[in-house]
Amino acid sequence: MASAPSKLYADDVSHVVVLLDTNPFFWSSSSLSFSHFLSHVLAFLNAILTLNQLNQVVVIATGYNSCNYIFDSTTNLNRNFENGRMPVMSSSLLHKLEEFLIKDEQLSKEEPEGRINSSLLSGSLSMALCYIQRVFRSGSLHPHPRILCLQGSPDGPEQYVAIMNAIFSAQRSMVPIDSCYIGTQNSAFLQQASYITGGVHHKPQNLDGLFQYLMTIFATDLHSRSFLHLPKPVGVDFRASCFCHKNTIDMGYICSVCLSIFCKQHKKCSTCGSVFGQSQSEAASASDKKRKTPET
Amino acid sequence: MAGRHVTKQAKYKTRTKDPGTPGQKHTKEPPRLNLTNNQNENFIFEFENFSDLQDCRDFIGKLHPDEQPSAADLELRIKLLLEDSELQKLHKQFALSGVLTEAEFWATRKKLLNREANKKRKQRPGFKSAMLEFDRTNKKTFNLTPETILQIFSEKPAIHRAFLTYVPKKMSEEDFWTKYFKAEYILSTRNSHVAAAEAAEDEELAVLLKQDDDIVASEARQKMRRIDPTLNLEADEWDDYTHLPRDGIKEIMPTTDSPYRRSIAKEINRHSAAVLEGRVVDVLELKDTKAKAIAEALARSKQESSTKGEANGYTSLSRMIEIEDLQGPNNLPPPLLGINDARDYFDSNASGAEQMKCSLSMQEAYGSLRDSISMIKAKGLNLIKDPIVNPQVANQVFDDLTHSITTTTKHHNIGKNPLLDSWSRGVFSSSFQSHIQDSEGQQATKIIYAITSNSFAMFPKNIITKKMDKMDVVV
Amino acid sequence: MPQVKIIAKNFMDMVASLPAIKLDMLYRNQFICEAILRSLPPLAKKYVLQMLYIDVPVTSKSLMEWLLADGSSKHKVAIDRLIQLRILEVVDRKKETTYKLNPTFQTNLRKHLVYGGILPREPMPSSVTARLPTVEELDEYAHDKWERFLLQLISPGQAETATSFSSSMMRIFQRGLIRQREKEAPRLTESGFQFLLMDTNAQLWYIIREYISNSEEQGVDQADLIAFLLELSFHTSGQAYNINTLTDDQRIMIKDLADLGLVKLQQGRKESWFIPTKLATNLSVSLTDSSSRKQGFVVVETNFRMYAYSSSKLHCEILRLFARVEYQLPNLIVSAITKESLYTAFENGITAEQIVTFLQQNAHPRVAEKIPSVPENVTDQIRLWETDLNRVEMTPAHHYDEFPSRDVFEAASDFARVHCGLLWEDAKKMRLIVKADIHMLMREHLRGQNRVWQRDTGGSSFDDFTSKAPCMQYMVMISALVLVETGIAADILLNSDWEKDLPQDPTGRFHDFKEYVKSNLDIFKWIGLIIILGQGLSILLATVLRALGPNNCSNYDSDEEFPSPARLPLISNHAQQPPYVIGDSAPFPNKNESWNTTK
Repeated sequence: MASAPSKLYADDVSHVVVLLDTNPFFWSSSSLSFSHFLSHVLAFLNAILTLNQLNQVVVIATGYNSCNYIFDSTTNLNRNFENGRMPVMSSSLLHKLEEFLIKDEQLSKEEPEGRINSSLLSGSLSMALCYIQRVFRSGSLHPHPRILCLQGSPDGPEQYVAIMNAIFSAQRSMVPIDSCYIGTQNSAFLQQASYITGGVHHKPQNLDGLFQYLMTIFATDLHSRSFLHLPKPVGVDFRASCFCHKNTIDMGYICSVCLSIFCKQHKKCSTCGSVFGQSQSEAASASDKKRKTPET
Repeated sequence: MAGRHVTKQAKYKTRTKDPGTPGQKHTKEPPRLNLTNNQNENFIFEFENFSDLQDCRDFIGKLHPDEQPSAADLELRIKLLLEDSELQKLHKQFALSGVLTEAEFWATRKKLLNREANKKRKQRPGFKSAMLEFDRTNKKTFNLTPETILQIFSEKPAIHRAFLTYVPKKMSEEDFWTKYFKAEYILSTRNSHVAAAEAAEDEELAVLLKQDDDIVASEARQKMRRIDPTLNLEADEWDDYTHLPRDGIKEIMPTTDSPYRRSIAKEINRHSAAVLEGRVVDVLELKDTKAKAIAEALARSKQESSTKGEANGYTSLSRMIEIEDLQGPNNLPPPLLGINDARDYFDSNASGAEQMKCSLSMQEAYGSLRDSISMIKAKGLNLIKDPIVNPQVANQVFDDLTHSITTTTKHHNIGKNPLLDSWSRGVFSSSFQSHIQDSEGQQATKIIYAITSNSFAMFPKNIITKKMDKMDVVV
Repeated sequence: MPQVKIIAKNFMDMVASLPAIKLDMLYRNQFICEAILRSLPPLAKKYVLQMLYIDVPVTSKSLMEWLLADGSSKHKVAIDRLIQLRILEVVDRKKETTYKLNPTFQTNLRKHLVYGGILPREPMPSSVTARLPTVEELDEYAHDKWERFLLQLISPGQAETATSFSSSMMRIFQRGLIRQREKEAPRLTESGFQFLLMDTNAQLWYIIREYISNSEEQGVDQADLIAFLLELSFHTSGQAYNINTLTDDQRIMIKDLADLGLVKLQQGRKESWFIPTKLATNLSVSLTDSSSRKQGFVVVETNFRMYAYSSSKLHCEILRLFARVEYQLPNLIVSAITKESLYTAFENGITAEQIVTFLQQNAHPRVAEKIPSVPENVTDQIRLWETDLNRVEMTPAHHYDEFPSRDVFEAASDFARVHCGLLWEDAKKMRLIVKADIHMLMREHLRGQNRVWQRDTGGSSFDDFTSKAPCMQYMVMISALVLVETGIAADILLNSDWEKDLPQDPTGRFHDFKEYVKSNLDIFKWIGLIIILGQGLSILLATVLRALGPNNCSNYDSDEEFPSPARLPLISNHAQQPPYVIGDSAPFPNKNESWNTTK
């Protein structure tokens, strides 16, 4: 018996928090121009809002030095009429984005140069999660939110701990993190984020068709995902960054108490302060010597 | 059965039975021994009597411990055969005609044998749940059976002890019982004065009149020792709500006859304890039904159980202490996890960051971003060409995605895993090789895989092992 | 679920049923494209999105690739709906099914995404409209209007202020909801009850559907109405829009919509304007919508008391449907859920599930926080009372008996068991009860059995085995009698001195009798003739009766394969029962524990 459509249709309400990468260093070197990227993303956001009256979109800009909310469809109520060049949401978003970029630039002047040109993904992820927590606490009736990372900058290993914490808290609150990586290399962080939280990770091959990727893969609401195949990466890069030097490592040492990761052997865990036992370290180093000789 | 030769007189036959007399009873058959050699030839020896047969069988049984069952087993089998005519028929049909060997025949009927054997371990009879009641009236007839004696002893440890100390030396058994019943009678009158007077006159009677509090208490202590030491008994001590008024009625405190009342309660408890404990000593098993023997047997069994209980207590105590967490570390060397030659699988990102470094200065970079924003603002979303996405590009993207989905779903279980491919190329980390050499190699690969890719969980084991074989060749 | 009956025929079905030209015309409007996109099932939305920028047809196979195993039914629903609405066009059916988006729809939706929408009319500046009602006031207004309309709908006598709807219009709305017999108070029908328990949006769609289908009879174009309604749903609620921007048809319509509470009409000094309410803006939202949910008012206690904090008469009427209203205070309705009140509700076709969801959805905010909002014992009892009514399950069945032999009976019962149709059997008396679904199969089977059986019994006629013992007796008797008669007659005719065969009569009475007969020979001739005639006639009658016998109505042996027409004894107690089958398609209770508890 066909159940009442009310039941069928009510599930496909989406609440998407989109994290936009606005790292100037990335965009200056990217093959895809920022304006193209923006136009595709704006059309995509508009499409999501069109799909269902109750759909909500929040956009957070992930800058080089800071991050901030640049659009929230729940507050921008009066939509739909504008000069006719673009949807009203787009223009307000662009306006906010411009302001944000100016602020971000000012911040970077204060800071000395010399770090890797990664954007502040950990910050924007945390902001997204905070926003989602607010939604969760607003009442029992709310669509299930998801996060979409549109990222191009390389991973910042120094953010490893913060990002992993954000990922795990997203996992706990059952928020899937979708990620679309538009940079040249793939991002281990985003792969892990999507893998752990059950989201979709995709690296578009043809950046001219970014909009099509967004529409086919990332516009799919959570309800429909239960009966659709979405592209899955063949493998996930599970490498971690060490806590001591923030290097991405394949092999390392793990504190058995707090699971901190180190690239070198320490006498004492710098995170939780537990002293590593002498006998074990001896055994480890002894066996290490045996095993590591060919490598070094 | 000393020596290696046993000589008995026997007739040698080739067939079990004269074909002319099929209906003969088994009991009338002469004792026979049926031997089968490796070539499955039968040798049947007919003995003159059963004891000869027994001797021979035992002798042969020693030579072939597997083939020849023990005498007890055989007895059991014969008994079964006698009881069950059907089985006998079968036995005749198969075992004796040589279709099955004796052992084979009985192997399939092990259950039958076991059941028979189990019957022997019959249930221990318990005590009657009725309490001892010696008709505490003026009537003077008492009926003492070994059964009741046992019950008295096990329910009243004081009497038991008194009996053990007095009976052979100080007084005869009969005297003891007379005294005992007198004491019972006195107790039943509930006259403490009379009891006191009588006790003053007769020392032994006084002993019998005394309640067996101390023994019970010591037994209770013993039992407490047997309780799991991790149990906190003191915590439960205050869980006793009997002092509270129940159902709104306050307990009427007994005034004069309180000791008797209490003793009745105690007796009932004691009795139920004895009933629950069951019969420790089987009276029927004791050939000597004298009270003395019963008393001693009971004392022995009590001794045994108490030592056993103590031992149990200690073992459980030591078991409790053995908690895994508190054990010393397992000294297995930690296997190293690692993926070498990851370059063709993972894009290393460290070098990429270097490459990207600033073709533009910061101001220029931010400026270009702002420029593109204002460009969109000016021109709208359809920036350069009218549809934001070229339909051909869109179609191609869609086709690509569809294709990738088709391939992933198709090959999901077959295993187009880049890692595995790289394996077959024979590039391994050295640490990995060393792992293969020790027995943990396989485990290590599993661990690496389990972490690397979730699709791995579906890999059939034989693929892994195949890969392992290849690797060995490479090494 | 009977609930579906009304909702399943929702608004979009009506849009889909519009002719192709009108649909294409509708798609010229961006807003209608958007509204229709929103009404689609999720999968259909996804298909539209991913095909939006693809110009070439997409094969159905490539769409199917994306589906997981259990999604194919959803795919079918989505594609069906898209084709119904002419959003998808099927191209090239010969080789492979391919789909293409409707070009008008496609370009309009593309435009919508890139440029944003432009509303057909601008809100009036606040300088003209003096004071606009606040959102709360507007909600209040819409709610009030809608409720009054509903009350008028279900009990026309009670509404104090009648709406402007003409009585004929009202009757159209009531069609299907209220049944009016002559000289009787109008009664709500089953769907009427369900209508009342639906949420506001569903009710609204129902009424509007009726409204639109009615307006077509009056010559207004359906497509225009639909377009206007959808357009209306994109107006901002609370803003004033000039009424002069509307066409004449729309102006008529907006008055009706005002009666439903969809818009509020206001008259300024010079101009008049309309303000869409929340009801109107929610029109294009998919049917259930959490935001449109009203505040609850019902508190149900574990003792089956129900307190409804409401002054609305409508609520009172609704509660009366399934509860006994005990007394009414200015803002409180106290009622009790009793077995009797629920039984009347069940009789009217309301299901327990509907009542429970109604109570849950309308729970007072205080109790709505609790879980469960309606006490479990109450919900359980409501469901139990409902299941009480459905204790007996009816299964149409056939009864077979009088099997010729045990083998046939057992084969038949095995056959029935294999086909899962055996309901009951009595091996002793060889009776079977078999579900009606497999009756035809069973018949075939039995026919086959008969053939086999016939072969076994040396081709003896079918007559012999259907309880023909009395028949045999009868035949033997008759033939014996006839034989004796003919023997005697032959003897008398051929044997001249047959009188000598008679024994000697010493009394002489026989002689007297002979004399008597001889003297009255004429009369005796007649008597003899009558007897013979009577016999002949009776045999004839028997043959006729057999030919017209009742066995023709038995569907079992009315087949031409058995030419012997007579299989039933004439004198047989159960001559009326065809063999094997009695009670053709009589509903027979399932083998339930409660055989006799039919209510």
